[in-house]
Amino acid sequence: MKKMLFSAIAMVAFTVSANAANEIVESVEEVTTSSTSCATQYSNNYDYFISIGMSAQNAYTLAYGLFWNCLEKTYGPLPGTGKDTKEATPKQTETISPR
Amino acid sequence: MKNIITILLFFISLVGLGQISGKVEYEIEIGDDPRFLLHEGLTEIMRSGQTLSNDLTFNLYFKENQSYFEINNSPINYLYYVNLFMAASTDPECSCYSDLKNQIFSCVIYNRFLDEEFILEDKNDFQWEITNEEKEIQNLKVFKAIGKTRNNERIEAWFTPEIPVNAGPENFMGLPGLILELQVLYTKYICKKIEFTNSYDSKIVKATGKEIINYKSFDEQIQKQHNFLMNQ
Repeated sequence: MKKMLFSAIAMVAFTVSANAANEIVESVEEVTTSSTSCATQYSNNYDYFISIGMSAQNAYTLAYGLFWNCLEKTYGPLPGTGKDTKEATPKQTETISPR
Repeated sequence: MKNIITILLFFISLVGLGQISGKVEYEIEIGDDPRFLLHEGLTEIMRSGQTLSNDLTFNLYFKENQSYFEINNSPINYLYYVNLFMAASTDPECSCYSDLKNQIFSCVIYNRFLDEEFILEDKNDFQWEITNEEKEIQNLKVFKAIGKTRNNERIEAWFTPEIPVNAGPENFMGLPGLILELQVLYTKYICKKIEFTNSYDSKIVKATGKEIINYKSFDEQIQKQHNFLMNQ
């Protein structure tokens, strides 16, 4: 995920690279702030799911899924995360987390 | 108690008759989990998961001492069905080989955080308690058993001693007969078809070529990932 966050930051930075340098700095800061708010949301969701009786593993799985949704809402679909086809990509086959 | 002894005797006698091989096809139903309804994001995931559940069926290939469970149309795009997998109270996304004699399962799991597959190999203790309740599924008499997952979630399983193989969906096993219906919290597997044939025996193979972890290291992985996210 660290890699993914950095990739997202890099992608936005690249997109705006044609603009002035100060704009790049602003965009990177904006993305970093949004990533942090998704992480904050992860933390809040996890604590809430535990409080309503979910197991630590379920709370993690769901909070992490919502964290991804948050990143996608913020940045749009992230590279390598195509959801629009039912068939497996060569890299991934099935599967998450046995309880 | 008398009923349970009869079931066990029936099971033991059938095991002696020789090897039984075949395939069970299951559908999955995702019910309304009241905890999901308390959270807007989770409600959205659950509703999407319920819709996606109509798309997939699951196969359990079995023979006397081994079984293999997988999504019927696998390989599938995990991310396309991610809401189904998150909404389910079990792990329908896992392909699982089970050594029924030693009660050891070996499931291929995808760690989304690391974007990597692992083989989770371990044993479960479902603490099965067989009840006297019975009904029919696919014209076979099934009995109800109650158990618990390792997260202490209630399992309701309906097994048939008429197919004396102690397998079931995912890594659920250990009852004196094949599990034809299984419910964990609000997720239910329902048998829709049974075939008796040995033509699927070659599918019952343990995965190799990936790092093998057990529940302990799996939990440690999750804990590390959780700590990383909490420290952002």
